[in-house]
Amino acid sequence: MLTCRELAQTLASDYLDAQLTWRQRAAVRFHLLICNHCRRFMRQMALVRSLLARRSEPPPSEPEVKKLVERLSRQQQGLTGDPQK
Amino acid sequence: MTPRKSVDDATLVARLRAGEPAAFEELVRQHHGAMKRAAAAIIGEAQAEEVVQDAWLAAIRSLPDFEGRSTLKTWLFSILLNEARGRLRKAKREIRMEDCGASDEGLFAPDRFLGDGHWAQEPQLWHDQSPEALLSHEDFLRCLELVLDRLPEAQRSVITLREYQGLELKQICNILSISASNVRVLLHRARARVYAMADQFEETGTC
Repeated sequence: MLTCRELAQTLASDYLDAQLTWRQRAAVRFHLLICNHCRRFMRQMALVRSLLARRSEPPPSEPEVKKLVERLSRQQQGLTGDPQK
Repeated sequence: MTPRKSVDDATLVARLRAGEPAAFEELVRQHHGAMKRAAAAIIGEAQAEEVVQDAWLAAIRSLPDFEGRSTLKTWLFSILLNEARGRLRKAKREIRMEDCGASDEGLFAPDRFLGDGHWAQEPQLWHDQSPEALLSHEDFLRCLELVLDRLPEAQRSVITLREYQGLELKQICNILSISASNVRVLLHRARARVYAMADQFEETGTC
């Protein structure tokens, strides 16, 4: 029988990444069915994961955008041999 | 991929091929920040900028080959990941094994559990039950950046590629040239630290 310790300390992360064997997965699912402490813990772990997925990145600075856009447009025009404006 | 998105992509690609600067600007604003974060996760902050610049130039060169079979974003990131992976190979930088750690520490201190494996002290209820709720606290955002900054580099790489980029474990092994079991250990460690920070924040309002 799977214990709370095994679930929380070693299997949780692999469970979230679908890296367990079917036997281990079944054991985790059964444990979660009967243990509300571990259910709470797994909900919190899932929440932590979605936090990172939603993290926003700092936008590029204006000079950075301007410089890059110029460089890319120049290269594209060079490729097509169609200098615009 | 929604039809709407593929229409948007097709229009944007046509404008890019025509060399319309506004189209480049749109693309750069949308993706440059995320590309830099992904590159930094693989090759490190110092070389990220250069890798992203190379990826942009490679993408423009390959524009004629874009067939719309994936979204423009997926296509762009596959070019970026390729560039970063190539650079990492050339640099022969290796994931430091001490970052993986030999001893297998769990998420919790051993005394959180009783001798029979049950919780001695169960996980506390969090006030914030959704990512939106947690991310609405300025202090929490600061704590999140701080804990990620302080992760050993290999842990930060893996958790960024997995959670933020949404890559599969196999792709991460391939990009970083590390074994699947090391990816799993690094991911477990990194999540443990972020979890511990969030748990402490819920209890004390600080980290």
